[in-house]
Amino acid sequence: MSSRPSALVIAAPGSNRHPDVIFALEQAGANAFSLNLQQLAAQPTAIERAQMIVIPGGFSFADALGAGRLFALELSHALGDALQNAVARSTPIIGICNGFQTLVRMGILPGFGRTAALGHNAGGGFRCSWVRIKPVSQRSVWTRGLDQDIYCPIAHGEGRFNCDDETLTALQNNDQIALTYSSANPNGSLGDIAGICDESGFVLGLMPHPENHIVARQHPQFHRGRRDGLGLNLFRQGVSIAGS
Amino acid sequence: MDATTGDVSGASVQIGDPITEKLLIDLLFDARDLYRAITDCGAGGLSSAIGEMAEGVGADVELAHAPLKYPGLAAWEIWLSEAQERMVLAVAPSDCEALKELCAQHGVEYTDLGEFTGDGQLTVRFNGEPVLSLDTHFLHNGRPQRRMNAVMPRPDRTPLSAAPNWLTDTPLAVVLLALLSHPNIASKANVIHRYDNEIRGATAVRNLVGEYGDGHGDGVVIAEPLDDFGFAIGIGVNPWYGVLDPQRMALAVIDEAMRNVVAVGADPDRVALLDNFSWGDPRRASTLGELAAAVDGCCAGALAFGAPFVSGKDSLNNEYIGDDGQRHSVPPTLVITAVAHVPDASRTVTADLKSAGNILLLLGNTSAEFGGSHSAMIFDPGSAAKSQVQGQTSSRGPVPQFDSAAPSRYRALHAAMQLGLIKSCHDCSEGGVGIAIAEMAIAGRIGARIDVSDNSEIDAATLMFSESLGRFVVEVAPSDVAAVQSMIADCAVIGATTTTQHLVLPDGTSIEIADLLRVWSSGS
Repeated sequence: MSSRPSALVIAAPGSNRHPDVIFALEQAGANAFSLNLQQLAAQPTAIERAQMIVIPGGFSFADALGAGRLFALELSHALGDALQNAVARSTPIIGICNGFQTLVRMGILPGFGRTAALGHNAGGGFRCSWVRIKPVSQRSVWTRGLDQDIYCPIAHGEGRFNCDDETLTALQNNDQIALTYSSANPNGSLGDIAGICDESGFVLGLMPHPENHIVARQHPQFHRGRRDGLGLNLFRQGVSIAGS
Repeated sequence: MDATTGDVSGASVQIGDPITEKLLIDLLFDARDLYRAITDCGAGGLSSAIGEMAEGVGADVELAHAPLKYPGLAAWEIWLSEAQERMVLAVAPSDCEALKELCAQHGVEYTDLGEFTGDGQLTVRFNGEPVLSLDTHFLHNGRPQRRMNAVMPRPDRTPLSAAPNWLTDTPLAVVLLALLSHPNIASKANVIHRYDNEIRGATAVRNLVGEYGDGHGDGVVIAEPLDDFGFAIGIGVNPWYGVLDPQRMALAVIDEAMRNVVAVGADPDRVALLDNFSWGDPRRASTLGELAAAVDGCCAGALAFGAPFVSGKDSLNNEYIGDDGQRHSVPPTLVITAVAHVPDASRTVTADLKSAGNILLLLGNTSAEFGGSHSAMIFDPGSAAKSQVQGQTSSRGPVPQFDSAAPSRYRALHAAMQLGLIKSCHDCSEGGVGIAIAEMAIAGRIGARIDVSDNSEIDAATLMFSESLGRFVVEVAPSDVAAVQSMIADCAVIGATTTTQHLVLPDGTSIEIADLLRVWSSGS
């Protein structure tokens, strides 16, 4: 890689993990920066120029009308074509937590005209805890070749992945199930699904926050000598594709 | 909230809006080089925010420029309104355009309300007409001193020589398990998981620690992922002490907040304190006396640790009508928060036991101090359900007394931590040493044996359950015990970690860690 690919992080009112994912992308070798929707409206070519696009976690628009819903409407309305073009250009795109909810609401995930949903956690409320997730998809450019579980936190109230049987079968047959919970399923997600990719493999959405486990000291058992499960590898994978 | 909220409660309650607040926070972070001073509009709204900022400087304010939620407000209403999510910034004229532009990008409303003048006069106008003109020196210092009467509390501080009968009559294991399931001591995991503890990826020591992330920690440490340094936050609170002895309570909760930050690796010489008083009506002479006693305790604690109070909050007039039809004050309640410098965020310490074969040391001095203790709350027959903290002091001993050797002990512990000699550390608070070691064993899923022979002058029940201040339990490798004991005075062996999954009490009773965990989790 001769230069650091540029990674655009799109923030909405209420986004709160854009600094976290910028740090993760910088550590993974990207040149990351965030623009909010108003700034993006003033720079219409920013999406075209971006080599990676990230929709970060948070509580965009206070999760009014459902998590990610207004963010999805704003993005579809103002930037829908630009984002669809980015998908068509095979730009690596990742939506994390609220960003995953947004991509699902926009219909970019799971794609191929099907719908999925992220419902309220089976436990009934917001939950923050650490989970292990297993990279399984070889279609997703983000998880391809990753052979180690990622250990990272969840922090969401609406992360229960759901879809109809036909869609689930299609996701399985297309190798679109990118990540599954290998520790206890924290939210009742169908098939232990933690993240899915689109048909192209370039768009990934996931509920957990790999951006919060980039350095060893962030490991909850750091004081017990544990050093496994960095989320950094996932971002390195995306950055290497963006830069190639 | 619905369409009627404004009519029903608009006049009495300021309704918060998290999104507006979040946009404001994001703006203030990005604009941090564009303003010289900042005050939030809390109680008193613009009047206190601008009034405070203008002290000795003076300001000229035009209220007609202030954006209103609805029309028809009088000048004094605009000046006093406590509408939320507003901050007053002092901005150099040359930076105003840049700030305005940044506000537009963040979707934050920007209003030029006037200027700081330098003439020491606070002038407030409405459509150009002065509606208020006061010398700021008079505004801040001109009021007459209010005088109120206080009756100081007279707590019984007669010491006990040994554990009282109500405690020694009960087997150690029964006391331990009852304490573990008490709501104040039991697992708080269900509450903690409802909040985002990971945002910014800067959490270096969590509030839940240990092998399965389900043990109670002391303080938390926040450090940016690549920074060496960080800061610790610790809390101390104990209204049960406050009912009996407000002055000692204040010292005790300062000590607890200090212990909680020192336990995770903070430098005890770089701590700032915050106080948060929840109190009854100070017009009652006894309530005011309790408040004065607690403030005395705060002063003594701040001086003892060389830790300044940098901010705080009070909430007075917290009263209720009791079964007797009379007004009562809430228990004198003081929450102390300690914020402390952590020199090396990679050399922090957690409370979970790390491995078998290590020695447990008790730092500090123990005596029979059961006043306001959790064991007394549960087991003293003198405690009726209605006033469970107000038993006879004679059967409980006094509220724990501040240990003047604590500051030097905390310095020595910090030095030992910086040398990497401390494997785990937990402070002794509610429930005493017994609860501290049980929690360490639960968190680490490592067994331990509690051995009182090195403290033979103190009876086992006192050693296990007294809430004497200034104490920690630390886990040390056998080869490091001599080094730690040479660094820290009042440092006795209190047990060892073991290869079996049991906690063995001083009387030989053995409890499986799984049972400790089950009882501790059941109380939440």
